[in-house]
Amino acid sequence: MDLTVFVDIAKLAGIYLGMALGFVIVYRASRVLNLAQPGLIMLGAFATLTYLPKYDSGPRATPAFWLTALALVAGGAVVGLVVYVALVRPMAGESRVSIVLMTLAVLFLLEAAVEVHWRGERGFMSLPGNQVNYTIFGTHVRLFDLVPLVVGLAMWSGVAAFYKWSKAGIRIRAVAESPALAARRGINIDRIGALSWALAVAVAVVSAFTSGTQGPVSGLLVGSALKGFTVALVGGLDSIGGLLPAALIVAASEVITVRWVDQQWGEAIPFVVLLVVLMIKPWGLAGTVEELERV
Amino acid sequence: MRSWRSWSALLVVLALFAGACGGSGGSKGASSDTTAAAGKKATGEPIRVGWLTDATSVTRGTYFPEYEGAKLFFSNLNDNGGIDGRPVELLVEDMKIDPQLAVTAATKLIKERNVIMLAGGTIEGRLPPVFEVVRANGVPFLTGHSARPDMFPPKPDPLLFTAGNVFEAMSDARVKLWPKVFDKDFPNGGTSACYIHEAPAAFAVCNRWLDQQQKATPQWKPGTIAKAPLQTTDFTNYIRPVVDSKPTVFFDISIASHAIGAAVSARNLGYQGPIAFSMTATPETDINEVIKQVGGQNIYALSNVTSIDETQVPEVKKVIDMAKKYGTEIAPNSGTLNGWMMAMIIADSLKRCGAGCDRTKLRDAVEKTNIDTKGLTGGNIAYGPDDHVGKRYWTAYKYDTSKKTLVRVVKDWITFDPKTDLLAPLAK
Repeated sequence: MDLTVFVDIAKLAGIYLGMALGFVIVYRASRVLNLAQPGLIMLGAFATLTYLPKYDSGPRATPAFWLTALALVAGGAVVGLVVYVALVRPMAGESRVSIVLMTLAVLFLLEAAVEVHWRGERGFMSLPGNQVNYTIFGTHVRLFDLVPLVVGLAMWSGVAAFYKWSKAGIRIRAVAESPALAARRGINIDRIGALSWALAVAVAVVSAFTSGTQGPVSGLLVGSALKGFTVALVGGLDSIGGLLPAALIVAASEVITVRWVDQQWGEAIPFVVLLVVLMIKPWGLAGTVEELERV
Repeated sequence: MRSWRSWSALLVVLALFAGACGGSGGSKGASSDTTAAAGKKATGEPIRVGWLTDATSVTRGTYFPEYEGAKLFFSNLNDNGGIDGRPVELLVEDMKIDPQLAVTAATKLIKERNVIMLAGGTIEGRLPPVFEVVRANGVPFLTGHSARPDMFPPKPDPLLFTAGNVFEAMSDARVKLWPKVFDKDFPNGGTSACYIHEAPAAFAVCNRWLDQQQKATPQWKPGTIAKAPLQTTDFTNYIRPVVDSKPTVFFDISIASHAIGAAVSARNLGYQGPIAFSMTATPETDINEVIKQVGGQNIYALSNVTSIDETQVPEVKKVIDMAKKYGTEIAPNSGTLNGWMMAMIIADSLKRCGAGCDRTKLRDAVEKTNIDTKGLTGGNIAYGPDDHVGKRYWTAYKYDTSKKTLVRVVKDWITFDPKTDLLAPLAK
């Protein structure tokens, strides 16, 4: 039985889940539509390309690899903090449109910075396990086919658990419900915002890793990462729960279209799905109805 | 009056100097050695040549090495006397793959920097606006890897020349080359699958080639064609139909990030057959990326430029030595060699243009080009009033996993004459 279509859908859904998660994390906490997220994913990918250790005998899962990977994720969190402190926080009180445009400007800035620093470089991340293969129910499956889904699900469920059960997560939800009330109850809005941005960019770095299991890093990654935005919108911008079905729907649409309809429509189909969903449910599959007026 | 006498005396001296140094004046098989004085740095008024390239975006790997190859050539030339004592100054502008940026860059080079000619360029679809700029200013333009039908016989644009190819010409040349590469291993032929990123010229690359290949060699049948949108980073979905069709050979021609992504995806999906790259688009440095990921078994490269791995060719060795001496950002590859060849054309033309060279005279000189490429391709590069492309020479390599280099699998060069060998008209 050929399970490759399910493998491809699951893999792509895992990648999109990670990419979309960053948008939702920021939106939930600060009601900011973070259009810089694709640029942050790209930055994470190039940093990974540069700093992961390389060996003559090929990628290896050495302590150096894991430490570097952790350092990159931690570095992403620091970048998120810097972006919040330097750019988002000073715009507190400004119109939402201005803040969104600011994030768009950050995206362009990141694209330019990556171009200037990495100068069109492209290549494959040095990730161990590249040639590990399995046969599952007669289907050839690579380890790297499973990693995006496993990592995507782990991040998604981890963030959901964090919001549900941790003190900080509960505070983030309180701020998302009503910032004014949360502030009156003594919740530090700034700290919540900073934490959310740090988490979102750390997630962006992990998304970069999962994307790197499938193809080379290049400046084209921004275009791919924008599909994460469509998944976030399809699921509902403030809904963690909506992300999983959204990622599966978008991934399935894309895989099926490319395989059996027309390869050229594959690029557009996530946006077609977005249009259809928003026409039926303008707040996304599981977004909060009130969000429509704010957006 | 006094000033006029000084200038005319200077001109006479320069003319005598030029005459004394000698010049082959465009005779057949002219050498490209234009050094005036070995070991003596050129210190005169610089001759400015503008170069458009992609220095920072997704096609950098294809086009930037050309610029670097030209820069190496002129650095060496300038350290050895330049052109009649004058150094050639290469002024580079980054046009990425943006036509608006290209127009701005070309205008700046022509109007502000007063370059005598332009060279380089990036994706052929982005060049027409630049052509309008050069036409408006009467500036000759020598493109590298990417050419346009504007340069082709029988009526090329007077200002446009190329050291590169159009997709149709590459496809038609491949029809001759393909059986020479694969008939030995596949005497009964087979199916050829093809990958190209989605672009206006995609039809010329895969469809045209496969149709013509079947007409010329019926044993080679068209296989699956895969085309992924430019913004693709995961190629699995697009390559799976290719792999599922079990082609005899998979021809992978695209911008480097796509070509390497498609090739690695094919291997990851289980395809172990031959993968052939077009080395003009995916040079050795990028092919090595694929090899690092999935190994070097059954990797081929088709090229109209000698591979940088052929270090037994003296001119290739020279380029490598110059790269060590002057430095390059990208490790030298066949693109670097193409740029070096372009610089040979430019330098030879400047030399023949002589004292008082201007844009018009230089254009005329470029049109009379006939240079010995010293083994960097399979023959001379020669232009004429009805042909601003010249013959191309094609060969093929296979990666040798024990030597860890590309080795020739087609010993001779296939000649492709754009005047006579196009199998169908070019799309305008």
